[in-house]
Amino acid sequence: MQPVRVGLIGCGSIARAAHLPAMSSLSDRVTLVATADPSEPAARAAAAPWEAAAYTDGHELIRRRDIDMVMIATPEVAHREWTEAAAAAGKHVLCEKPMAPTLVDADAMITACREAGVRLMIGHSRRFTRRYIEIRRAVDRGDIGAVRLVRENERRPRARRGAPGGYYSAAHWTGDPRVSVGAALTNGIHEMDLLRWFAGSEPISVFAEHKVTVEGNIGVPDFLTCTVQFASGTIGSSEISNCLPPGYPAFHQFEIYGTRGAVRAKDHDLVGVTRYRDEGADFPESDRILLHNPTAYVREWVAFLEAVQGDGPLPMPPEEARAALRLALAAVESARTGRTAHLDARGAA
Amino acid sequence: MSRSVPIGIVGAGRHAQALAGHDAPLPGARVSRWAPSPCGHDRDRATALAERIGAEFSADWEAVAGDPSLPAVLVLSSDPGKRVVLDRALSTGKVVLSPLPSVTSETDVDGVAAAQARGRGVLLAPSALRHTAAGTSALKMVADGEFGTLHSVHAAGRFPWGDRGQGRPGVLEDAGWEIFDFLLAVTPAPVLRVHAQTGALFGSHDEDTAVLVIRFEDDVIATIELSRCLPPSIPTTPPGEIEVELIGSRQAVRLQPYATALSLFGATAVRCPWVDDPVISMVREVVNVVTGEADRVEGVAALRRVVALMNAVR
Repeated sequence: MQPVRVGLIGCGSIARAAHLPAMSSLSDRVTLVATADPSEPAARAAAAPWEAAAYTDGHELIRRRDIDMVMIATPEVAHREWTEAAAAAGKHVLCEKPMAPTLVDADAMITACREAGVRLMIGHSRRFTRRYIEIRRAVDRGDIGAVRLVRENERRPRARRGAPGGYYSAAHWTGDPRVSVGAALTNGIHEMDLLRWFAGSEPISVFAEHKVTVEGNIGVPDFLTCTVQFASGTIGSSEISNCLPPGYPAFHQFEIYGTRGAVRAKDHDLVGVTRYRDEGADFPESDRILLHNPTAYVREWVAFLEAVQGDGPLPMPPEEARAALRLALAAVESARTGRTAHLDARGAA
Repeated sequence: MSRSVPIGIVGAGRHAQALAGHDAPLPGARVSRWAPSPCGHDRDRATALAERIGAEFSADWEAVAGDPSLPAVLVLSSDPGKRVVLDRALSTGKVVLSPLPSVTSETDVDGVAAAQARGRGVLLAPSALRHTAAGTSALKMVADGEFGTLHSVHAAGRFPWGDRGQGRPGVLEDAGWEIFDFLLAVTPAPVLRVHAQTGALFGSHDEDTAVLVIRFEDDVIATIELSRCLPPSIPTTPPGEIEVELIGSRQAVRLQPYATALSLFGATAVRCPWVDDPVISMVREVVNVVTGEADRVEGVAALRRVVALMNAVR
């Protein structure tokens, strides 16, 4: 089978940390043909190992006939534009999470790809992370009975003092209120997706509070806590914080309690390596293993490639990503108003 | 050498048993008299505990609570009707320790305040959590300038399923007092709003799960999850798994006060050792008040805040 020919739009941190390494490990199945990024050095750096073309305008990339699929790794504010353009050119789309900043954009992306007859998948990497796959299997086997309480914390250390461009700093796009909704989408979309995926039910209400905590943040909420009521009676709870000290060891604490048992994956119980130096302790495995789990992105790519090449079902249909977005945006609405946001249990907007 | 402060005890609940089991002299105090709770349900236990530590047993709680030779009385009863003991002891001018939940309604708080004013007594009504080794250390760390500004508090209390299908107090009544008191100890600002999501999720008749989001006027946000969600395969010791995380602008503190130890994650990671049972720390505070070494006692004001928060959540 011929390798799938890929165009990469957006050559920032998630492309460098996750997607380019995943593609490299799948070099017998994919070929990077071209990259695009407003930063020419970033586009060239991503393209160089593959001897691919590099553009500063993604439309030039999309016009190429020798590209089968487009990987979109831009801020979410641009996802709709690139998805619609790629679909119109007959190219499949693998797009980073969150799907979009609005449900209108998300619906437009789904419609564009459906009408063009191309596949669209949103890269919710945690659905491809081993620990969550195992938990999902345990839940599906009935190991813990009916799921009644799902709770999780996302904990992301802030940039070390003096280091530029940490999440939600003024120098990073996540800290720009013109293009970033904040923690509810950048990090929280994972939590919303997992809450809903494991609850196995649609949310009917959410209450949230958010605030700014990261030093230098000019007004994008980087902290969010929420509690979700699902139609099944299950309760979900999640808190996302991005201002932990650099020495903090954990990134995700996930627990599901059912009528017959429980499943827990608490990072601070799983820290395998602690290094002690004059400057203090640190946890060198934490970042690599617990947050940017390389195998998760490889699985994500394999799943998409198999759907594209084999015409099989997508393991993560775009409607699922839309549902996570719907819950995240409801949480934002609640946090902004100080009131509970109610949702239609049938999953409508 | 300073003399130890004579104290009386009313009741024989879990704190009383921990106090009697302390394997060293109490810090600055000695138990002189011990009486059972007003309802008398713990009379046998009180008798045994008094004998164990060499205190005089009295069947008359009023006599102990009003004994003019005792500057302090510890009300260590699981009896919910302990308001009468507090009134008696406070109105006779004593320093009174009554761990939470001491009284549970704002009307009772008013009554206790009136008794205190009449007799010029002093009420201490803390949670045990605040007096655990981890809790005490964490409060000091947060008060320290190194911690920075408190951004958020996350507290989780997980408890065994228990006897399913049998009526018992909701998880809020069981565990909320402890968590609320600790929360209010780190956040002096008034509560701006409270959201509570509760349910009977694990086969209970009463609410076995409560998830709370609380915003304070100083912008601190607290998330509290309490649930009797633990299956028997997860081993726990009383009072259950309690985890609290305090996130500040410079440091974060995570504590498991009843399990392992306290960890401070800043430039370095620090783990603090265990010390005595919380009730010993409470006795130390009582002695400090009696001897005038305590510079400030929140007392009734702190009790009023925690009762108000519980009522708001209810």
